[in-house]
Amino acid sequence: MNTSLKLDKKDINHKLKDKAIKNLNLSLVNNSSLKSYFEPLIQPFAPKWSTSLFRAKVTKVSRLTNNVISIRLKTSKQWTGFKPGQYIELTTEIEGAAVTRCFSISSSKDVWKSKRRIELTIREQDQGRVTPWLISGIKEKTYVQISKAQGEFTLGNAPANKLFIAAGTGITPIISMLSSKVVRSDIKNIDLIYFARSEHIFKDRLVSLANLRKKQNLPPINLHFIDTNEDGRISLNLLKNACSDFQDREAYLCGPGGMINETRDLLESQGVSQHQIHHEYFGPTQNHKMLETLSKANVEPREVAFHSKQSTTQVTSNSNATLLELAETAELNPSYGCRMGVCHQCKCTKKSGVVINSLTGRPSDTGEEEIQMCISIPAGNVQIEI
Amino acid sequence: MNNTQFNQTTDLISPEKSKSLEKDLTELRERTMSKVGQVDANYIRRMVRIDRWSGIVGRISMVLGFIHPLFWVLGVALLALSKILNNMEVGHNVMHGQYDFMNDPHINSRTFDWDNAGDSDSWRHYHNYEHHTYTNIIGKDRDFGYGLLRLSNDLPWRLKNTFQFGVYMLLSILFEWGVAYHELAGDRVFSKKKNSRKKRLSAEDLKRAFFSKAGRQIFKDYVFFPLIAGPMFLPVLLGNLLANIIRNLWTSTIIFCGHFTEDVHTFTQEQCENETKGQWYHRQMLGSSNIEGKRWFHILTGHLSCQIEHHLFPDVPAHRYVDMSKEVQEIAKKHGIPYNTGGFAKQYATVLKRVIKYSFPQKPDNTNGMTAAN
Repeated sequence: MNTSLKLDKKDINHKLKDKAIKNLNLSLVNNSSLKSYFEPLIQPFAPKWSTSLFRAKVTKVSRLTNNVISIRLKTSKQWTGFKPGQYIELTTEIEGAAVTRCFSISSSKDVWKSKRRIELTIREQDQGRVTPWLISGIKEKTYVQISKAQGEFTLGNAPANKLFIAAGTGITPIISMLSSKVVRSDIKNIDLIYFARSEHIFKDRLVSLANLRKKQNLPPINLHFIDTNEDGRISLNLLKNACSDFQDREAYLCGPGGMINETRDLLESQGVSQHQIHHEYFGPTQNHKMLETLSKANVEPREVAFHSKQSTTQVTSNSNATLLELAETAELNPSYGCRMGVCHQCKCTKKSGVVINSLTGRPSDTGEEEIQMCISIPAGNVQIEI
Repeated sequence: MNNTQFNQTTDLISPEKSKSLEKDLTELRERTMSKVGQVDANYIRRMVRIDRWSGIVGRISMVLGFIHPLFWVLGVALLALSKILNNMEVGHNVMHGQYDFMNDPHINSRTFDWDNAGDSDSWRHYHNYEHHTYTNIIGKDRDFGYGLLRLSNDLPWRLKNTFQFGVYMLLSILFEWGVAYHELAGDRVFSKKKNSRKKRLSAEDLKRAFFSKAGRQIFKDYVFFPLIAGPMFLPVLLGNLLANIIRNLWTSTIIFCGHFTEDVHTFTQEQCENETKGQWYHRQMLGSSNIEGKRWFHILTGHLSCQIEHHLFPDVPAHRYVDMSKEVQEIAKKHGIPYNTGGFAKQYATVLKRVIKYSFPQKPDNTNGMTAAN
């Protein structure tokens, strides 16, 4: 009881101090942070210097297939590193506008430790705004901004046997795990089932990784390359053939939503418990769970009112469009960033009504709260302040 | 409506005719917006850098005044330049959302704070919404005469109007404070009689914002920077005061040239009910006036020298107004709408004329309408 009181006091002092500093900055330079006031003055001379995000230099761009490229980035000293399997938000400027997307790191942690270098592997998304531009236009020797590494899709500490299942570019976080020291010695059995349509990116790298382990007399990595055009999608047979003891493995799934849901259902039906399964959604379809919830809960038209300082705009939704999409169709020009619920650029205040979080499928409370528009789908009539 | 016989307001074009005006201007807007991108982002970042560097160098140079007084003079000039750029080309335009497309957290209409006594959030509300929506509608656009000056016959003459030239001079010198205070006073924030209108910002919010912003600005220019200058306390304090006054005079003069030149029209509330978008455009064109000049001049005015274009397209990046103005002039000609422009001396002379003219009562005017036209 006493300690918690003390903590609260500390917390309050801290908050007061922050507020005082913010006020002082606002007073002296009309900016809540001194750093961001000086940023545009310093950056022309020190391009690595940044206040909110970390700057990284593009050192190499190489094409893996005709629509997949890999980008090598030299990170700044300040960047705090990553756990294999994590992703970063990459921010770049397109026609003067900052745009943010999330990409998994595909390189080894050891390379970063020795050379401060990371690699991202990016597939062009049809109809995407950023990825086609990145692929056609990203130049070596320019700077991009990156965030701290994020994400829970990482290897646990237990030396349990692993089963990795990847589809397409879903291989990127997994190849980072496989090539980093963490999995090199203490795990006995590792299997990788890798689905792709005709072309498996990183096939050579995976094979040489497996060979290297063999040479070092480490337990092997068993690679299973599945061509979905010939062998179809995941099935119990396929699973049993590749990895007979899959029930005892810790499973890591990475790929599009459909593949993950299918695989998860299959594993769970075979008695694999939920906490044995880790997953990371890749690609554009991430809304499966939510779509189910929503289609059950509500298909009727819903009224969304966007209140701004100047005016109120009413929009009727009879689809699964997010608040951000609704605001954009109403030409309200909301600010946004990653569009996947990570960067909080599109935060706004929900005054009332229920929205469904498209990532978790969970409905919100009915009262006032801060929400992210890009992952909120109105479940009824909603009042929004933007 | 009182004193109709003194009415100086202007009729708007018919809803039918307004359609083609709307089409022409909307097309121009879309053509321009399709070009907005890297050029605009680079431009505003450059302006931000010039604003900040001149502010920093200016404040340091002022302290060096003990070496030679010219340093002090240079310092005052640079600080005034910084404040002018910060308020006009950067602040005013960023707060209009012209650069929101950049998705830059520091060049964003929601968060930008300017080096000015007025609280940004309150200003955004009054200026972007009220002034730009109800431009020159008597009784709705509080910026018409700032509640202090009688600038048309829409307001009945009172004895105090006789002294309004002095009031105008004083308002110009204290412009930032006048505007900051007036925006709130108009909403009866400071009086006991509360305005019953429902608002996003409550009277309490506005009052708190006013005092906290005012406090911060006073602390900066009249306490903090003079104090850290040590023995140069007084010269720095005076220099800051002077820089603020130069900025006030400049912004006030430019803004008066944009809305209170001789030929600027006014409107009644009834006229603008159920107004079409084309009529809104028409009103913006009649309610604003431009100043011609060189590029540096336009930049120093924050392109409010292109007040007509600004009022037609408030969220188009302002440095594009000069190019747009050629086409706007052609559109005006095509639709027979007067386009009020001229050199600085000419426009400012008519502002002074207008301030003096309406200091005195006028004879009743029969031409209900185009008194001020052409």
